Amino acid sequence: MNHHHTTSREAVLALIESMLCGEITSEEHQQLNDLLRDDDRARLIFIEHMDLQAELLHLAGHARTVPDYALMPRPVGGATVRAVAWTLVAVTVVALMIVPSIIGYFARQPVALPAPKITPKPGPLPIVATLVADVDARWGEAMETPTLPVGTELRAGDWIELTSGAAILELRCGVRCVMSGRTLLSFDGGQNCFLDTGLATFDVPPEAIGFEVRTRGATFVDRGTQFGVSVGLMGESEVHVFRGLVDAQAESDDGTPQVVRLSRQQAARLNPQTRMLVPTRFNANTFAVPLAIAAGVARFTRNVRFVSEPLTEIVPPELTKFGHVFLCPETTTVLQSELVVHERFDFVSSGNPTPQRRLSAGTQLKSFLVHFSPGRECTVDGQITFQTPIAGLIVDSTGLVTTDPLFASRETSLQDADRPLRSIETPPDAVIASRGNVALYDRLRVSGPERKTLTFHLKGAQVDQFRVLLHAPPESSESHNAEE
Amino acid sequence: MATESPRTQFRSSLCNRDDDSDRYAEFVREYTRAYHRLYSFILSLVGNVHEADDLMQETGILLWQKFDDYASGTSFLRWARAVARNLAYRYYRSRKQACFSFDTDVMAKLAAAHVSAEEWLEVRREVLADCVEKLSLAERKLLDRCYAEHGSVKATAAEMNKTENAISKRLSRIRRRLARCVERTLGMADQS
Repeated sequence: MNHHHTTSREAVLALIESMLCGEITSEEHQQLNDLLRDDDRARLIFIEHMDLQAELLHLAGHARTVPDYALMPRPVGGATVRAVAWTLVAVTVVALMIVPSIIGYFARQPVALPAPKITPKPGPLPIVATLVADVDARWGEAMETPTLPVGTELRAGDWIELTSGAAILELRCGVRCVMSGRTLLSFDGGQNCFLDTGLATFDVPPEAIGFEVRTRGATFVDRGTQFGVSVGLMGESEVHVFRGLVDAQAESDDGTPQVVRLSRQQAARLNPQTRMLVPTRFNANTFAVPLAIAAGVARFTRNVRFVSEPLTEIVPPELTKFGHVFLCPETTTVLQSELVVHERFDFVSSGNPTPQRRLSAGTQLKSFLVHFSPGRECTVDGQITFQTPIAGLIVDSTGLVTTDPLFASRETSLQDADRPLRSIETPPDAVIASRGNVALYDRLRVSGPERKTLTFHLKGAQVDQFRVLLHAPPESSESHNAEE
Repeated sequence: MATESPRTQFRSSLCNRDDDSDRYAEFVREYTRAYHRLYSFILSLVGNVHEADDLMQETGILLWQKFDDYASGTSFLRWARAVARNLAYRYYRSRKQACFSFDTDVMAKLAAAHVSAEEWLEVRREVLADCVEKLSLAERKLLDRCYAEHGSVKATAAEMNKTENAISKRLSRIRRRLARCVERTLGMADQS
């Protein structure tokens, strides 16, 4: 295939498409007419493209064939009926030929005609969702736009396609949806959506029970819950239930319906070959990013593990992993009295390494517990960026024990809260004084124009914990969750 | 007052004509079998879906009217194409001033080329179905909306709150991508 051929083919296709889009000019039409007369190859390209158009119509059910005989009234038959039939056929044909002329004639007459019957034009479909936030979102081709401003309203039938990053959508029915990574989603109506590919979590309030997430071959019906759905490139879909109940529905190839009720920490997978739902291992890690985003985190480094479930113990023995820290969301609380917090914990920095600030009573705060338990000697450097500004840090043992009852989840046992060396260790005075090797010790920095980013350097083999307190908006979804 | 569509009229004409169920059944069978290729043929002559729809309806009525001329056992498609081609010529001669249309000699060349390319087009149709499957769901859904029986660019644009031009452009991109996909696939098939 040489270049000339390719260019020629594209040029012919451009003319044809211009014609199909209704944008062809008289000159272009003449050019196409001449090409089709003189150029065999152009003629074949035209026929191929028209056949493609016909096939698309056929696939979409446009070009219907003659209706089935059984669906039509059975004719009586006989010569009289035949004569009547011929007359009707003739009348039909004549009508087809004459009626446009008659209509055209009257259309040209300057006579006041009776007011035409107005057929209401199909209006835009209702708005069903609003983009309330995004994190480094890059939008796909379905969006027709490189950027989608926060606040954009989506109508029923609209598609939203992410190629990377994450987006938070709030549906009119109250459902909060976080889509993450390469994801294509459509809201078919106010009470359902279609997930074509990718990853999304859904937080469904009681008033939206019955909300459906459809995938190719499966439907997941919410029964008051938080759940995640993933759909792979081959159409295989999984549902993982974080809270509440979900009815997973599918229909096998032979039409047998299947409904599987899933409860907390259960999951099911649709086998795309058999179209059957099968139990699969619950794995909240698959949805760590959207869950973290739903909880108020924007992004974090690879060595951070987001823990979506409330801790059972304040120092959880199961969260021990070399080279990682665990980010555990806690509750949102309004301070009843003043609270003193650290602005940073950084003995490398000059001046005051641990400045403090006072948060007044009435401040609403969302808390995250950062847990580091490597099991053996280890240094971890990483970063967590939140969606809202960091109000302060609780890094010392006293502070942690004092604020545990305020921020720890109700499910969390505080039995081991006063264990020694739970908090971040302060370098010995002698080390601080010499300023020689303070870099070997733990440090926390808060940065960014809105103080949303926490940079940590944690070192040691034992447990280290500290609390990150964020300014929480009064109507945050987290507070809603915390109250449940 | 609701007006009967040409399709309904055609359906009625079929019902009324059919006092000979065997003959009727034969017509339905042949017409159904030939419908898709006949539509593609007509579309190739006129290059416009709306006019192809109109011509297809008129051709259907005419074919039923002339069905006694058709000899059972011969190629229905060949006979139907001849009827459609003549109807298209007449149609365009009568209204050439009103719209874009190709010269009749061009239409004759297109008709001949379509007949000789029939097997090739059949191969391409099979490949096209696979290419459509490779489109994103958003693209497939857009095709479904615009190409469905009662679908249109205008209605889809209104439903999606987009301009007709934006929808037309998207459809155009999809068609060109599909055309490239078919070419690429057939090119690969040739090499293998």
